[in-house]
Amino acid sequence: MTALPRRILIVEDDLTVRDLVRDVCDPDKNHVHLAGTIAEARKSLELKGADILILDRGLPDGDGLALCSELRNTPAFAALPILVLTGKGSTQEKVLGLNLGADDYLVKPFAVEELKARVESLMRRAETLSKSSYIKRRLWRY
Amino acid sequence: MTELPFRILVVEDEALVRDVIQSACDGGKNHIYSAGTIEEAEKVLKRNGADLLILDRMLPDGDGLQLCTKLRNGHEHRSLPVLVLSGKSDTSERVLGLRLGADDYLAKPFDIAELRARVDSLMRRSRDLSQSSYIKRRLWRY
Repeated sequence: MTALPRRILIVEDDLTVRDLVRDVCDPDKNHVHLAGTIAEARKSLELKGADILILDRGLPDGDGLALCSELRNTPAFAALPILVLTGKGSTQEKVLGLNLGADDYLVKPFAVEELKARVESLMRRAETLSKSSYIKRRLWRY
Repeated sequence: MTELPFRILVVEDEALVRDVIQSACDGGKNHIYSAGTIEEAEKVLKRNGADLLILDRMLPDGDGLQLCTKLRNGHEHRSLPVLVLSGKSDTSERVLGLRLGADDYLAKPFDIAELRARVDSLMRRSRDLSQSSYIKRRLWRY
């Protein structure tokens, strides 16, 4: 089975980090969208949707976690996989991020390989679960 | 809607660590099972099933990642959420764990609050997705 390209939205205002994260996300295989602010991210989600969100916290127009908790309360994006990628690395900050709806929380500076593995793992989980729900639907039907 | 209790299997050979993990997993609300070896873990999975697995690596009868791989290649537990909790904390070890099917990888020594938040996040994802598939099934039905 060929994997469909994923729509990955990267929300990051630091251009160096953004480029690095974009390379990790394999732009040849996936559709990678970029945003530098929360407002841009909202617009991109509305226009193009996304299958996974990689979200910085210290953005020019606010804390990325504000967007995270907003999305969790929006039915269309409640199940969107979200990985928070930030310099705020204390346990307290991590717990806050996970409690506000992040599926994963990786602290900067990060290893490129680890980010890649965590993105893959998150996508695998989302895809396996939607596939098993598809099978369940089929079983229900027949 | 009342949430059903989660069945959490903790695979850890050190009794002290196991107790800490159990208290982080809210034994009052969830059903917690424990195993000290891979063999025991397989037995418990067969007998009781599980909704979430917390897995140590250095177990008396092998590396916990062997169990992780086996579950991912089988049918019954392919989508079981697995959090690996291990003293092997190098980036390369974390990447290996995530590649072999772990949904999350937390290094020891860990903070109880972070473990709890990560467990909650994994459970939320399973619940959200199974709920949304439940809704889809209903829509399909009527």
